[in-house]
Amino acid sequence: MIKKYAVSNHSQVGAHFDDKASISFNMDLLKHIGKVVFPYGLIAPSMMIFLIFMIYPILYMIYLSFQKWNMLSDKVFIGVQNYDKLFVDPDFYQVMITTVKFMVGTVSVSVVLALLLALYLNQNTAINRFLQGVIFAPYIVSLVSIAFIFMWMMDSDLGLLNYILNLLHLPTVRWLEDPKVAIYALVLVNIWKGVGYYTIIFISAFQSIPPYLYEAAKLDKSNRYRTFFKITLPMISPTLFFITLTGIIGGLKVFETINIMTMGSNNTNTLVYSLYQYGFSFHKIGYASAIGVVLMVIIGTVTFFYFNTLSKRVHYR
Amino acid sequence: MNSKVKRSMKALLIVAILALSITGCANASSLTANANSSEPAKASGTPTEITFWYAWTDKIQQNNIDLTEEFNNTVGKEKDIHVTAEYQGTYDDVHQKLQAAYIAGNAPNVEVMEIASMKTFAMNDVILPLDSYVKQSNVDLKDFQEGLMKNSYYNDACYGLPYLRSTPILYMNTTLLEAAGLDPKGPSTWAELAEYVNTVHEKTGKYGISVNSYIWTFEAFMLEHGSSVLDASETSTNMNSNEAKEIIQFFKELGDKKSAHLISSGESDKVKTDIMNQDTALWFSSTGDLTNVLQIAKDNGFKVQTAFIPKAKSYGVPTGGCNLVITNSGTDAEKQAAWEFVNWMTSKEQTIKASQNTGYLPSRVSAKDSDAMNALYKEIPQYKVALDQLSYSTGRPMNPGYAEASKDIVDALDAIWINNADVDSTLGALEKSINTILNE
Repeated sequence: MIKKYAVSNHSQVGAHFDDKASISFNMDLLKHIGKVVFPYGLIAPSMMIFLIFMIYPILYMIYLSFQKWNMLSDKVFIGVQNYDKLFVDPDFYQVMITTVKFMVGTVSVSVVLALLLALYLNQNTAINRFLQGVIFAPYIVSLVSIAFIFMWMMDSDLGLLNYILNLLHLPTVRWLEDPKVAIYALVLVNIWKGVGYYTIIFISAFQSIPPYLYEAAKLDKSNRYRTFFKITLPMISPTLFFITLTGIIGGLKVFETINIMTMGSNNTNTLVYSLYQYGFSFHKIGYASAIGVVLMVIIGTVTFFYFNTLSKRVHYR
Repeated sequence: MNSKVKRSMKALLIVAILALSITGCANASSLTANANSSEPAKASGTPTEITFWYAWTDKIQQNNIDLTEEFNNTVGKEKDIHVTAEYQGTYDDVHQKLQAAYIAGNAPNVEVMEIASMKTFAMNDVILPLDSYVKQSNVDLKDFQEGLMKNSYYNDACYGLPYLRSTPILYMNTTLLEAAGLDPKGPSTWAELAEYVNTVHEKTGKYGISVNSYIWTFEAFMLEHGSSVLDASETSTNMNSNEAKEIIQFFKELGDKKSAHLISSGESDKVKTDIMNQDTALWFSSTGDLTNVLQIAKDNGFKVQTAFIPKAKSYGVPTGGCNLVITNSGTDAEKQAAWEFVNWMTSKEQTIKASQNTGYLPSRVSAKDSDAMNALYKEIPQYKVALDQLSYSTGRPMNPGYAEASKDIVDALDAIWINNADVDSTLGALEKSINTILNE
């Protein structure tokens, strides 16, 4: 019945309109649908991965932060109790301050140092190419081995650093033991590891600046500082923006250095490390998730403000 | 990079083992069902594959590997069981990984479990009560030394059998003691301990003692002072008591005089450095270190003696180390196979071997009284100290919050010993935070 109707319908349409036009109309529709659907099909695999491994865990973490759960017991909904406890815990604020100290210390010194190094190594000579390789080397070495070597060098009794200080008749430092110093000792390790990477990025940014700008500056008898602040810095501002942002996020999320070198002792406990401790050593998944949510909100807020305030001042060519 | 490769290799291995065990146990369980017996299938061709997780490296690792291999070649062959032993890191690592693996549904069948964690895993049904197996195999639980069974029970059910068990003891570099003109027998009271420590420092310039902030030895110090870290009900702490303050001050004063080397928890490896460099005369450690330490002493040309932890008011030490437990997952045939392995590992002969291999306590009375052990004690009397000390031992706290409380205690010790924090205010805050944690 239906088939008949369809056929008759078609013939009717054919009677009134051009057959070819109807077919091409259908083809257009298909093409159109294809055009709309096809890209989604293409990004589907990566979106699936994104949803399963990024979005779902975030939602699940938020859900867990309202539960009392030790991974083995049944989950018990306890409302915002985890957050209540978190926000009155003096340790939590200590951990926050330490994390910020670490982040600010690492990012500010790394970026400034990398800029200076990049300016110095910018000329394309054989020695500079070699030096670029040398300062980039720490970046490709595993952080674990770097941490162990620094632990040995920073040993307050037998370490190389204190030995040198002794030779120079300077007071020695209890690098990893003094709670006022320990976090900066860890900052030092991370700077040493990361600065080469930043330098290389800056150098490549410098080399993408068109030389005619410098030629023009030279003609105008602009001095070096003026050239740097009026040409070089604005021209690399997108790179600077990117590096600072990734540095901030990376600094807030620091874990390995802490885990290997101090295990959070002597005031070096950071947000992610304390999250790990609560989750996997003390079996308080709900509380750990609450810390995770707070960390996420902090990083989200920082990123948001960073984009909103600074991106306007970034000069894109 | 290397660890990543290793991990992916391990993942592959686990997949392979799982695949094997699935086929293996399918056969075994169908056979046992047919035979209607609880014995694992014999000579079915495909053995029941089970996995055993252990902690620590060195002599302890060798011991675990050797015993597992011996089981596979003897009882395992006979009963068609094959055990794969896998190293997992420290006790904490084993616990963390077990937790994750249990939820993921691929937990090992047998694992070592540090005794203070028994309750956490027992109350959440991760590990099996062993009573029915004990009955089935006629294991005499009374043969296990009484002090070692205290952490095995939860709700009156036995969840684990003592395996590599220890007490903390006092180690002495007697070469250094003699150089300082001291009796190599060692100190037996805390007053003598202070005298020893100061004398060594004055006469030799070395440290009299190296002490790291460590919860287990601190438990021993508290017991020696007639107190304990937690009260008997495990709902409040004695860390703000006079006894605790006395202990903390004792080491603090020695540290201030540079007689004692106080080491923060994050750098406990330094104790080992001090031992190897002969920079310290005394240190506290597990009896499980004994074989290693004797080797170090031999390699570096000094003599080592062991002694009881000195007495303040009364002798008293916690026991430590691990029990063997069976995971509450897998098929009945796997559980049965796991029991066969646990039963064999904790039997008299293996207990003797494990003790000889490592220095851990012989956990069975029959093993302790055996000719083999007595011969060893005669030859190397250092092995016997922990055993004698066992008569003064107790278990460890089992409150699930104790892991977190321990961390707070160690942090407080670091703060006072290493960073000169005020004793009263630090311990006051500590007491408050621990009591909250314990009652959550």
